[in-house]
Amino acid sequence: MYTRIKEFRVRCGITQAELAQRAGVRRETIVFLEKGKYNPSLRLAYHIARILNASIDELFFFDDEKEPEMNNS
Amino acid sequence: MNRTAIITLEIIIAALVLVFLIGMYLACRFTYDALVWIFLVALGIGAMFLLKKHNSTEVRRIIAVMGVLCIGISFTGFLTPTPLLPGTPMMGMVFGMVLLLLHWRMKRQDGDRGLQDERSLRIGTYGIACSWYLTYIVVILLATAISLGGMQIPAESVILVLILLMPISTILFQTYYNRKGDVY
Repeated sequence: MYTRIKEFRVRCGITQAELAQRAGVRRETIVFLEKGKYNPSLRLAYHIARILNASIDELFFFDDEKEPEMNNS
Repeated sequence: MNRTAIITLEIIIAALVLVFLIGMYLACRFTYDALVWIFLVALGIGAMFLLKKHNSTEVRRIIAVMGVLCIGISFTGFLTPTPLLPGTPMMGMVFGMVLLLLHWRMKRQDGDRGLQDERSLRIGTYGIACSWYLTYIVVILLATAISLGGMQIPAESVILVLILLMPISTILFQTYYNRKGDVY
C-alpha cells in the first residue's frame, strides 16, 4: 500500500505530531502510515482524510493501482 | 470491548486470584507463604493500574525500586533459612522481574504518554495471541517429552518456565510487530 499522507500533510502545513493529535493516534502510527507499512481502519483513514481535506481515494492506493495524478490547482 | 467491561473483567480476575489464594491458605495453612503471595499479586495488580493511570517518571521510579527490593528480598530469602516454602522466594524474584519489565516497557512509551490507538491495540492483542500459541506449543512439547520421552522435570521448573515465558514472549512479539509497523 502507498499513501500520499505526507504530501497532503505538508501542503496543509501540519506536523506529524499535530496530525497524530488531531486524529487521536500516536505519532508512530502516522510515521508507519506515511511509509505505507500500516493498514489503517476505515474509520482512521476517513478521519485523516477529513483532517487533510482530501478523500480516502486520494490518500491511499494499493500496489496494483496507478498513483493518481496530483492536482496542483 | 468498552472501558466498563474491561474494568469488570479486571475486578473479576483480581477477585478470582484472591479467592484462589485465600482458598490455598485455608486448605494448606501455609500462613506466611499465602500472605507473601497475596502481597505480591496485589503489588503486581497495583503497579499495573498505577502505570495505566499515571505513567509518570516518579511512578515508574517507585515501581523500579519496588522491583529491585522484591528481587533483593527474595534473593536473601534463598540464602537464609526462612519458614517459607522454597517456591515463594522464586515467586518474589519473578514478580520483581515483572515489575522491572513493566518499568522498562512504560518508559519506552513516555513520548506518547501511554496513548493506546488502534495500531497499538492491534499489536498488543496480536502479541498476546502469539505468546499464547507459543506457550501452548511449549506445554505440548513438555507433555510429549515427559510422557513419551521419559523426561523428568520438577513441577516448580515447569511453572517457572511458563510464568516467565508468557510475559517475556508477549513483550518480544509486541516489540517485533511494533518495529515492523503492523501485524500483517
